Amino acid sequence: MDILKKFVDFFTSARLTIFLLIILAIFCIIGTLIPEPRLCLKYFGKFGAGLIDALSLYDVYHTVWFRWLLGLLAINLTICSLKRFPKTWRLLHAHKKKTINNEFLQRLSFHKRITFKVPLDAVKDELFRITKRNFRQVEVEKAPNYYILHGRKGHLGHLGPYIIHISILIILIGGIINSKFGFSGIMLIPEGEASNQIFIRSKHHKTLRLPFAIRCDKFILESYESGLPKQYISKVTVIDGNKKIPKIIKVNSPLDYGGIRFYQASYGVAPQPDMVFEIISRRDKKVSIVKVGFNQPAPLPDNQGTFRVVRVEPDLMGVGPAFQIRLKRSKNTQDFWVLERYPRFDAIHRHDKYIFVIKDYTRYTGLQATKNPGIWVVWIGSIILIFGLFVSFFVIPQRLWIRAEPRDKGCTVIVGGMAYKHRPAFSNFFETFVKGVKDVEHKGP
Amino acid sequence: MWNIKVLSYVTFLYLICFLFYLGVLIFRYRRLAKVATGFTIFTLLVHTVGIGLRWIESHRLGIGHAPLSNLYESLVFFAWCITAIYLAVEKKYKNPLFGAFTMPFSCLTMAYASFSPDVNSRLEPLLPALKSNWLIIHVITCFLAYGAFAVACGLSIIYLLKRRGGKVWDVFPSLGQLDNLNYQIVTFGFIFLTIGIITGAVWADKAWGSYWSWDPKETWSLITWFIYAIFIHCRLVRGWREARMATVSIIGFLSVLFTYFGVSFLLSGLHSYAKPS
Ligand code: HEM
Repeated sequence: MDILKKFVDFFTSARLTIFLLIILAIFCIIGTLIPEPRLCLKYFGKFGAGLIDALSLYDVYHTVWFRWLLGLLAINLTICSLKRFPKTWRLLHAHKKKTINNEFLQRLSFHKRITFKVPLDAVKDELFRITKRNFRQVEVEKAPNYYILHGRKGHLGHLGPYIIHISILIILIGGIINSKFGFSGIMLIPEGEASNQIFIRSKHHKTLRLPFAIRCDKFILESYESGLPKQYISKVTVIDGNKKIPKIIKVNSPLDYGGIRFYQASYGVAPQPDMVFEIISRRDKKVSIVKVGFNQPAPLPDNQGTFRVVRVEPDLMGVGPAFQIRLKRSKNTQDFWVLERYPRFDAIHRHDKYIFVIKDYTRYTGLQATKNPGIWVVWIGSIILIFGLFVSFFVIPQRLWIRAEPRDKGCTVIVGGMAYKHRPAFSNFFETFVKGVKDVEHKGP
Repeated sequence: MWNIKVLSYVTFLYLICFLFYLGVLIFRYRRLAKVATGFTIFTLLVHTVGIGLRWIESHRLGIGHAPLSNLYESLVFFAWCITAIYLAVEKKYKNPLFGAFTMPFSCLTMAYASFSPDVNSRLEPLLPALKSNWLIIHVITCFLAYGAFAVACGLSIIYLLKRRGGKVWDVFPSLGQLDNLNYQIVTFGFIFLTIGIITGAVWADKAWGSYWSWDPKETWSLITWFIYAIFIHCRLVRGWREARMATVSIIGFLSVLFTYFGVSFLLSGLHSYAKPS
């Protein structure tokens, strides 16, 4: 029984919290340090890599281990908060019953006795006024032989940790909702076409069909003068039943539709693109613009042969989009590549009557489609978390009593105060406050 | 590129600040302390002007963006935060002696930014994903937090040195005060770190479509957050004080350093500034 009690105690203690936080931190560290499987084999050998694989350490954050840890943390957090709450409740209502006698005040860590030479009635109102100036709530207790003021403020501060802890639970719940009911996938839509298919990112390569379709009207890549990309823009039309809604999707400015967010994620050469070539005659530099479909023959400018695009590579050995052209003249055929990023490649590497330069082609836009039904839960939890932090650290519960008794011709006053946190700051406040109380005598009514 | 020149001079100005503060620590002239503080304020102004110039120049080049977008700019801002937070602490606690322990952080950060071959100081256009106001808030809050943790780390080092005894340390606040200051600055940093992580998540949600993707930088900032959460719980719940707290504060700052440098150079991910999206 003793052991059981110890176990329960540990389970409901903040010691476990600290322990769990340390374990979580260690798991996260492991998660960032373990390299890809390929490298693991190199660094740790077969056994090490096997062990890592068996424990699913490649992706710690999505393992059962990690979920259990987070779950334990949530349970621990809840139990501790519940266990602690009665005590907090009493603190919040502590002012109700206690009788405030001189003994009580002198036991407070901050207290000061002051003697006035003027009667109590002369300073009463002023005492009330300076207390009210510093404390939102002031209670007054009067009797023939004493006068008590009780000021309180910042009592929300007692609830700070609860607000923080609840917000953390809310964020975790949001995360669970997202992972249970959300998804994330990719849509690839060539310019001019519409699609409602999302390829879900998971082990099973599922596809999902939306009840509406998205048509890509145009994909635009804006560049800086130096050639670095400036912005990726997809002009799209949402086709939902009879409705056709034009929209623009850019990086950092996604489209929300039907509970799903569409992000600009990638782009590339459409599988069977239409292309526009500039065909330059070597002799007289005459330029002809020729539009051609994939694998469709097109006549050369001099009408003495044809060419067709037989292969398109979105990224040919790291040099970017490449288009293979088969050029046919009466007797011979010639295959060659035209590269988008190196427009002069064809001019330098091939000696022919015509130089080919690719000017434009149909692209596809890659949209990431994400549904995160719990995201607002996460954001609301985050806002509450920030609020809770401010409350915990900056709202300091403070209480102050003034007890005045008539004595001879004057009166004695005892000021006592307490703060639940930040004693040094309160100490400064208390000193100035007491100085203010001493001055009351000279102000008079 | 005027800004780069101005900012590299700032490095030397910080060195001078450090020497002034060292002088204050050794000779204890009140006057010298005034000079040190004045000079540091001056340096911070020059530093601010340098950042402002960089902003203006980026607009002149037609690629205008807040100067918070690559490693160089973030280092420069980091040093700015350390100095600003230090000056605030100095003003609040009226003790100019910490300077000798915090100015080296500013100076080394600036030196690293200005003179290391790993850090590219050229003004470059922004990649599309980095064009976001959330990102600016994210960077500012994270670095305010890092600056606060740096100052807390400096205080903790003083604490541990002072505890071993020696007359030199008498001038610093008492051990209890140092301990308290350490805690308060950490709570300040913790709030900013929390806001920084959250705004970072908002940005990631807008730019990449996922608010949390366990990218190494994200994960390490979470680890740092855990460490400081442990710090806070040890203090408030377990009643830890003084030397143990100072040690945790230093460990926390080591984690900050790893989040910032280690991750950029040793691990790869969304945040390694060099990699395009
Ligand atoms: C990360 C998850 C967190 C867990 C699991 C957790 C857990 C706990 C637990 C179990 C306690 C109760 C101690 C007791 O009953 O004796 C506690 C206390 C406390 N927690 Fe947390 N906490 C977490 C995050 C935070 C954060 C981020 C803060 C912000 C600073 C915070 C602030 C506090 C404070 C101030 C107390 C002390 C309450 C008091 O003594 O008045 N907690 N925490």
